[in-house]
Amino acid sequence: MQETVIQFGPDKGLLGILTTPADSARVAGAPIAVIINAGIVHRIGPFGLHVKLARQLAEAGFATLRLDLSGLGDSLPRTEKLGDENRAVLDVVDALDCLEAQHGSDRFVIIGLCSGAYNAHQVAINDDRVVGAVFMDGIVFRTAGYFWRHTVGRLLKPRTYRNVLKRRKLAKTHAWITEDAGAELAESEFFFADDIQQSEISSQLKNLKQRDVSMLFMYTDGYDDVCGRGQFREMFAISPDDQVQVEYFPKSEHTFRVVENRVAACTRIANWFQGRFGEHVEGNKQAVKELV
Amino acid sequence: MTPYFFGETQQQLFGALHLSPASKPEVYRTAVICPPIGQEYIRSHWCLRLLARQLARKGINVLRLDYRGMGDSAGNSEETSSIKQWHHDVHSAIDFACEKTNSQNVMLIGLRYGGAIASSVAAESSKVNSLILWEPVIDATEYLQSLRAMHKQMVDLWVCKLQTPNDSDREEILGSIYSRQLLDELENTAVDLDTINQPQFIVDLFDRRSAYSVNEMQRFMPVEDENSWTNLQMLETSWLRASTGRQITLMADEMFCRLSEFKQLGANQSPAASSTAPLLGGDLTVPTGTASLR
Repeated sequence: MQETVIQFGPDKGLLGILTTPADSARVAGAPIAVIINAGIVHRIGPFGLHVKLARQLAEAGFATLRLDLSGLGDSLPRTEKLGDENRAVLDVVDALDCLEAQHGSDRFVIIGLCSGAYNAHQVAINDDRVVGAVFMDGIVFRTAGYFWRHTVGRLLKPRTYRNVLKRRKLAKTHAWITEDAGAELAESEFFFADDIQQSEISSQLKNLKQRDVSMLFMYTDGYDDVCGRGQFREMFAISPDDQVQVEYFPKSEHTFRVVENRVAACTRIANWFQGRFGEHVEGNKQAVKELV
Repeated sequence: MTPYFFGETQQQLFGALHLSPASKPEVYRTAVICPPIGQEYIRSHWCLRLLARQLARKGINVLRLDYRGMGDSAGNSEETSSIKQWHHDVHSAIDFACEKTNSQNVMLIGLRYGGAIASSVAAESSKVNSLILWEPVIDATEYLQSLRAMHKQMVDLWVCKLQTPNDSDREEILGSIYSRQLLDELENTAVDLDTINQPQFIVDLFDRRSAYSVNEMQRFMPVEDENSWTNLQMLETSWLRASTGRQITLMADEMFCRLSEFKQLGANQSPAASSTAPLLGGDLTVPTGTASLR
């Protein structure tokens, strides 16, 4: 495994770390994974999630670029005059162009958590080079099922009451503890554009499916707008299958704070990557032939 | 800024070098920033990047480094078995910075536990000519206790019953697993700033003023701030202190000017051994308008 710095974009002002597998482990012709910043955390990801994922993918034979979007981490802001364009999309497309020019790959898998998932969605729907995507706690909508599972489900859990009481007790001695547990949890409106339409997202995901893009949707209990794996079908009217996989982590916080949760998330993604883009996969064999 | 991987091939370290456009070739002004460890490293990444840029604008070349097992450097936190390995990383960074900037000496700037690392390295390296310590960890036992208390609270308020690794080999604290060997060593390490010969500029909270003796080699700048390092709710909040960073930049510039004057006087002895006027010494008043540092 090797890690190198890549600089790309306008005046080479954008920065990323490319993790490549050892030659003996490399899966020929496999797409390159590109991981986008989560919120404003720099390219290593929350609690180092992106570093762990990139290294695990490298062990499985896949290359990964962890990048800093413009203005985040060690990347410079874009200074050109832009209209309504999503700068994050421009940054990622610059990264894909650079990887295509330098490494000859024209197939990519975009991975993002939270705002990173939102940006990954925007890139995926706009760039045909994207053949796979992993959306962690990405765009979600509250459904009737959500209210039932989330509200009623929590009311039936003894730990909910225990934690409320503990927080109240702590709030008396620690000014920083809020009694409202929900105040700590991430809410999607904070990170995403507020004009997102459920029907539009659903339609875009169906288009991605038609384009044969492999997708893995991962949700955590710590993400306040989603509750349970079943919400995916309720939101987008898409039934999970081999191509569109959905995973729910009931014991995990939004940013995978605990190592055990982080390991589970990275292993799920690495296994999915292996399953969708490993050496035995037909699309991959075709890509290798084209490269040769 | 130019990013580099440097050091041994199997244990490469990541460094971000901010070369100053204003730095004159005959004036060697180079600083190495020692970041905090663990989650504090992630929280302060942007702040230290900003500080490096401010210093570079003042004519100071700066290298930011990631210790082994952290950030973009090789390895993971669990593999580090001794704090000496982090010291070794800083020594490597000093050599790398000197080579890239053609300098012979550097200033070390340490934030939180990076301050403890910088102090230890300064005590053993003749290449360090001055120190800036920003809210440094002086008492590692107290530091570990506060991290463990936050971790315990986090786990206690988890959505389900949760147990994180904590045995004779390793312990998970706020998202990182550390080896027991490292934690035992860390717990038994104390920093004594009075034994350090290089001039020191210390920035810490008002209520921590009594932790420092402030001798003629030290200057202390108190900052008014809440201690967000022990606040679980701010565990993932970026730690931004631009105003303090500007103060530190001004002081770094002044320290380099004084070191330069000292050199021009032809003194061959170390600043500490000199009988000339102390390079620093005393408390620094926080200028009006910078008391609130949020």
